Amino acid sequence: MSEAARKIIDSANELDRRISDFSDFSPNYDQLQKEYAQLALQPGSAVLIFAPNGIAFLFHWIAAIANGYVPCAIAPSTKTSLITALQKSLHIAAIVGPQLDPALYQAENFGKIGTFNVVVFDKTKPAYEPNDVLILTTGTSGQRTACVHTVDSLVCNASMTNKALNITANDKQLIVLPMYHTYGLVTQSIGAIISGCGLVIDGPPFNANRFARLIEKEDISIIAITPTIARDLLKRDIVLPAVRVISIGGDQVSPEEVTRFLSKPFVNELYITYGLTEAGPRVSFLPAHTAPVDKYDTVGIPFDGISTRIENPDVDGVGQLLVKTPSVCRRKVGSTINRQPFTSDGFLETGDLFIKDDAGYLRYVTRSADILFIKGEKLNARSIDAVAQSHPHVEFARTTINNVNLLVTRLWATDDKILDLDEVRRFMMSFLRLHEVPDNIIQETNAEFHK
Amino acid sequence: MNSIENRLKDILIIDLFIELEKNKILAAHSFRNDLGIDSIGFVELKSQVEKQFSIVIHDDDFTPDNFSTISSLTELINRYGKANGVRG
Repeated sequence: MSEAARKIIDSANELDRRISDFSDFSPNYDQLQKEYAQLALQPGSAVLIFAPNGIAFLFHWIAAIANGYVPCAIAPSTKTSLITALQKSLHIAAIVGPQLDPALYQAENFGKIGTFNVVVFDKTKPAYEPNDVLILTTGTSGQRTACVHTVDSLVCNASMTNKALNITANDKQLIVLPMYHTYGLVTQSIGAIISGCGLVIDGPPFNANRFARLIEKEDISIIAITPTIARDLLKRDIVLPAVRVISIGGDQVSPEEVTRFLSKPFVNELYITYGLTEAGPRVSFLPAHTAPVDKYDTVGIPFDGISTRIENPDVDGVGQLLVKTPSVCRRKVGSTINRQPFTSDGFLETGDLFIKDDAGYLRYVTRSADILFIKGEKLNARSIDAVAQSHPHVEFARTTINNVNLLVTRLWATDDKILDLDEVRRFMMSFLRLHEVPDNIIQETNAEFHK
Repeated sequence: MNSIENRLKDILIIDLFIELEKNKILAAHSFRNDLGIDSIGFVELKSQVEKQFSIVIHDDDFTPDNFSTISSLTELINRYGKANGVRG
């Protein structure tokens, strides 16, 4: 076991002294670890953890690592059809979660671990190594895909953030972002574990006034929010208690929004961050409180130890950002991954177009046209198309965002059959998360398709 | 069955795509822990409740406590109903 994994596991027993999640029940970590051992899965077996934010989620994640298994966190709202597809695509050996219904998986081997249910797929052979961690990339690379990280790569990335933001045992972080996403899991949870700082886990639902009260009551010094939450706070002119550090990441923030945020009395240090799951996730950060105004439209400079370059820049200097980081994933996995996103000299292909200025600041130009932002969440439009196209009567599908920010899927039917769009919608709903379900589904004629 | 609870179960199944059968959804089930509702799900749940019960839920009431279970949400809807003269 690596030193990084040992550090995480050894910290588990003292975590409940510095973590709170407002639940009435805190699981016994040692007992959980024993119960995972009793599953007797082979080392390197992947375990899908299907749980809401909380200490219980974190303890299950650590206990899986301690037993040589490979944890994979997933949104608790994920539908059975997608979990079943992921189980096959990612070679998942067991699923655990509080609301898991073994009957939905026709499971013969099922039971309990702590208060969570567990279903074991006996015939699934391990596809990973102990010390690996799977992180899903359904929002960017499509359904049924994931990055194979190691505990070490995630600890390395969390350490870079801790160092850059000077996060220490004297701090206390508040998590409101989902812990199945890399920011909540790596940057905040693992970051808190290794820095020794306090951690308060809340939500959902997110409520700005409750957020403000928690910061005050819990004496929070570090918060992380998405641009969607930041815009909501600005729009409603919410005044938070002063915190030492606010970081905003996950999507673009405009220079005007940076300026407006900096003018708030509760903002001391404001960091705009950029990252992607493949990189572990954080790549660069802009300390906006000290940066020149003409850098507010950038995502700053890379963390120490990370190199970047622009691939084949055009006349304006725009090209794909390539990243070389010690926290990069080992590989990508999933049934739709047909090549690894690495150059021959070990740089990660981000798929994002950037300009890098003379001072090394990274200026975001655009993301892949396939990646859409809807209701504050990232989604891959081609994944939605793939789900629609798996319907037996759909030949082709194309999903876009219309001019009023609604998700629209246009369908072309096999042999121009008249589709029952309500039935197609129900079919798609059984695979998609709520924000991925199209607001409108429209049938087009094949004559149009073949033009 | 309480008609508000019944309508909430319909919202959970039809609008939030909860996979449990209606008769297996209990008033005491935790939206987060038992039904797996996440942040987007809570926003949708609030929006559907507002639409279907003709109420506007104040931001201060959109909390984990009020949106904990069908029972707690029913209580909240009843409070709004009394204030607005709306019946469940």
